[in-house]
Amino acid sequence: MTARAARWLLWVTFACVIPLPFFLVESGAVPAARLLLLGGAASAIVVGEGPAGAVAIVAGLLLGQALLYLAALWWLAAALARGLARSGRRGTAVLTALVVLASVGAAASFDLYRTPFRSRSLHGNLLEIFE
Amino acid sequence: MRRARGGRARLLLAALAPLWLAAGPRAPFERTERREACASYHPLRQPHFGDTHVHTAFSFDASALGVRATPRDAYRFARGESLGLRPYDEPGRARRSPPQRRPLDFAVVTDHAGLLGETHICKTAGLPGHDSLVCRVVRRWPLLAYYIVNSRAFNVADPARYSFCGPDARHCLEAAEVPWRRIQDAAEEFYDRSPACAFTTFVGYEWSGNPDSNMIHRNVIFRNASVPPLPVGYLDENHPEGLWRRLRDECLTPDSGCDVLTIPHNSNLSGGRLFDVQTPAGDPIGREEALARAVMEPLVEVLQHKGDSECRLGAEGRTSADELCGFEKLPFGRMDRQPLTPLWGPAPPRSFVREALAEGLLQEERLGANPFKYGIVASTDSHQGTPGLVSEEDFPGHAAGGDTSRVEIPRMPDAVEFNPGGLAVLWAEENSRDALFAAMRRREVYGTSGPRLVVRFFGGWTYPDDLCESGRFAAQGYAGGVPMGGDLPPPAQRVPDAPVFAVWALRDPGAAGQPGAPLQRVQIVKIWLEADQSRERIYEVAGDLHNGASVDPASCQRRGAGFDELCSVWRDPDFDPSQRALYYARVLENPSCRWSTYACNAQGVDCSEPGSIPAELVACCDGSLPPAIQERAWTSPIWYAPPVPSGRLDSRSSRFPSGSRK
Repeated sequence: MTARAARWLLWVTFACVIPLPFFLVESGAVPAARLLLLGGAASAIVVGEGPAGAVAIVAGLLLGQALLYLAALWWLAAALARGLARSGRRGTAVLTALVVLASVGAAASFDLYRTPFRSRSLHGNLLEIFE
Repeated sequence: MRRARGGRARLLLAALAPLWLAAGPRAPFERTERREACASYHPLRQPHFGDTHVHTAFSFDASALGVRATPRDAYRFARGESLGLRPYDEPGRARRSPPQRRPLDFAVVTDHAGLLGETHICKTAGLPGHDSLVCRVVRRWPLLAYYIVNSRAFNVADPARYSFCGPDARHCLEAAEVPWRRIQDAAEEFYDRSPACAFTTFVGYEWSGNPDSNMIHRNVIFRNASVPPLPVGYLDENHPEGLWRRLRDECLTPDSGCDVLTIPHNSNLSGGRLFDVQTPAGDPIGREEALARAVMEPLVEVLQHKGDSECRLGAEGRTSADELCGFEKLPFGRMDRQPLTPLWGPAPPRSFVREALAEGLLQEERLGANPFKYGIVASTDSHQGTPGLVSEEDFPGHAAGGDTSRVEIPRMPDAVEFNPGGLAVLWAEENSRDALFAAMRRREVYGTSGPRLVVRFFGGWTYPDDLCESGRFAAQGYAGGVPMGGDLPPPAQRVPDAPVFAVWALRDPGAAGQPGAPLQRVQIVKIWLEADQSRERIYEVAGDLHNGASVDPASCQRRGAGFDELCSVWRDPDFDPSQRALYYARVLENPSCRWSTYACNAQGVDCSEPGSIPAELVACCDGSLPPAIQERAWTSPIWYAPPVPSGRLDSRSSRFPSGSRK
């Protein structure tokens, strides 16, 4: 596995599993990808229905925080991929797979996330947060 | 033949009997409905406790915040039955059930007219628009939708429908007919038309406009079952004048049988716009507008869940400071400032009822008509379908903004600056729609911050000093003057002596396990005009300001003596017959714990260990919350107008402007 491929894989993984604090009147901690999902939905309403009311602000806040986190996670994934690349292509693949599996496994097993923007409980794991 | 005629006579009598029952005793109010006569009829009137402001899951915001109670549930709760509250577990069982210790006498479900159809569409599969992006967001992320949809529909000057409503909003207007019908059906089902007259409902809704986040909401209450085919929302008419015009056109037409009034609320969050003295075009209101407004809007809600609106703490330019104006004050003047603490600050001018009452005197001087001739009520604005849930001791939150108990039971049941709200009390001969509506029309009403205080307030010129001891307080009160909400009759002599006011208050006996607090004192608030400026002064007229009563915040045990009953006959010592004036009474209980103190105590908060306090409970210890409050009642005012020079306009000379009322 190339360092570039590892970087992309780690970045997508981090974006989907690392709980990050956010603020939108209410606060919580969710993956950047979830902020992107909600921001995307709000943006779709802006495009389809116009910006009247707070929808553009809501979309901006969600997407702004998501993009900020995605950039930071990109830098983190790049740094980690560079480190893993020292172990050769096969080592990079194995270590990257381990990081991805461990991250996803932990996120799916524990209630790492907290957000009021769910229909059910405030807390949830990876499977529940994207339900 | 004779037998046959006798049979026909009996048949005729039998046929007429229901009409006789419908007529009931000869009443000083118009009877507009067929119903059995109330067994309890008091010519000197009796107090009826109720709630004129209640939301259910038919309101979009309540629904988005997880409320499931319907109007039927709300009326059941008002009658004293239990009701499950959010949050719900997976099988859909409510995880909380607050006690409703005492049933109410009446209630009005006032769901938001705006988004009534949209909410129904998003919840009901198969309707046009149900699969729209907006409805998908509503169902999947209701709290996100709460911020997005509410703001578009209510918080802008020119609200717009969503495209899924179809051409001319046809889909949403058609969909709104269903919940509107259910609201009417629930009101009819729970209205007690039997002689017991145990419970009265009114059909109503809320017109909810927040132009630029300034709250100019009105509750719309209909007298009887004759109502327009659809409620008018902010999406339909984005000025109160438009609402009133529609109500005149669709309800107040000759022979319609329909009658209606509106009650504004939350002037504290209106940016001064609830009591606007300009037309939508920006011109100063004229006499016609002032009269029309006074007819449509005889009452104002002085207190509810989102704060007290009576008066401004530290008002400038007055002859007295009123420290009791600090009661349940919000630290912000607009709802959109709530999460933005750096922007908190005082509300702009004309944000409080007392300021509006004073402005009304000024307008009456200018126009000969008072647009702000308000009677006073209070209510809850519950969004949980819980009319009359005003207990400080076990307040579960009201599911409005700031309430986070949608999915989990919170440690602090509501935003700490909010409160449980209050009650509306109507003096009426019987508990029927016509009698209660007439009480609202003549403003013989008062509001309380929750307790069931009984207060009478009369104004006249000749009440004897021993009226309180006469045993005929009410009879003499009515015979010798006017009750709260009235205009002082002209005095016998050309240059009158001072008017005399008689006020009587009875403490709330409370309920099992929750005894009411003793009374502390009665005040009369006077507002008058002097050299075209309004002035105000507070007079202590009964009770004891220095009775030393207090409450222990740790245990919420009340300490000190108080009064079960207070009564006073008071003559205005500063009366000037040339000055326009009004007077209202304020009755205060001894101090008791605020709801937040009960909540902090229930959570076992120990302020000596700040590190152990969860974030939601930090306010328990940071000194920002008053541990105690003084519950109270506010009567409607009694107005005094100087003798009118001939040819001068006077609002009493014309109750209804042309075209406004039958």
